[in-house]
Amino acid sequence: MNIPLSSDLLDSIVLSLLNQKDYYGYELTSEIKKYLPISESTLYPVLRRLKQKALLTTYDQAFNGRNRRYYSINEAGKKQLSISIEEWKDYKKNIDILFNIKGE
Amino acid sequence: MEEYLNELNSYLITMRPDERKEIIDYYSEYILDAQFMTKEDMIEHFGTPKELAKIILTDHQLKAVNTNFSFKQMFIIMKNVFLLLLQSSVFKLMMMSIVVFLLGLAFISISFIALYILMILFIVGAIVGYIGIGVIAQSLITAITYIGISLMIFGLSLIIIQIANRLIQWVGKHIVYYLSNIFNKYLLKGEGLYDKAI
Repeated sequence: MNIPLSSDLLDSIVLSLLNQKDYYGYELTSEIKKYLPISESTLYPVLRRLKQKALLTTYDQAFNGRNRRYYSINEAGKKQLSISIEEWKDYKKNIDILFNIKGE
Repeated sequence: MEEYLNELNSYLITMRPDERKEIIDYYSEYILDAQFMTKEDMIEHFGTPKELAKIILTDHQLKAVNTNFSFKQMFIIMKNVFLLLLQSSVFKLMMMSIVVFLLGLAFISISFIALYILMILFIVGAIVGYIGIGVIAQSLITAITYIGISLMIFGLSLIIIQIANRLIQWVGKHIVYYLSNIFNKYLLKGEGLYDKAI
């Protein structure tokens, strides 16, 4: 079964990772790729969208004579994340019921 | 890396320069961090520059319809089209560029004519009002009539400003949207434009 990843879900996944620490582009993609089969061109539009919605901020840090752009969640992003997590719990609960998976 | 990014850049010609720079910065940083050495590495991970551009532009255009039209953006697109025209040896593209250029020019002229008419209306309104105030001592009725007409002209121009503004926004937005659409499609449709033109 190939479950497609909706863009809202991906937005929330990125926010959740940024909630733990600030990431730079490649690091973020690599982290998500450990768990989900996303393509390496997927994340730029996501980051751009989140920045436009003012859910994250960016800053540059020097590294090896060049810049790395770091992405950092802000208060609005954290608020959005907690809403998304609640929605996800509901969704998961309902799917579990339909799949007849008993909770712990 | 240079080659890949230059090629990507050439497909994003309808985007604003600052947006393009941000994209190129993002991918050049990514390539360095991921330690992609060859163009083949990059194609393996991102797809060809054309494929990557397609993803970026699709996302970008979804957004473009929702943003306001600005003359600045229109000028940028016209400038890019013009640059492409200079660089391109492809006849079809040249003809299309000329049409686009003239369309843009026509649109801007129309906006200026509208502005001109409004200015005249305003001046006429002001003069009539001035005459009205001038004759207030001789004949109150005439004065009131003149001032009334003057106010009506001002009111009318305010309404016209609103309508013209909406109209220009709407037309401009759609022209910009469809033009970039045509160009992006053309650029991405395997005519090998990159090899021929840039």
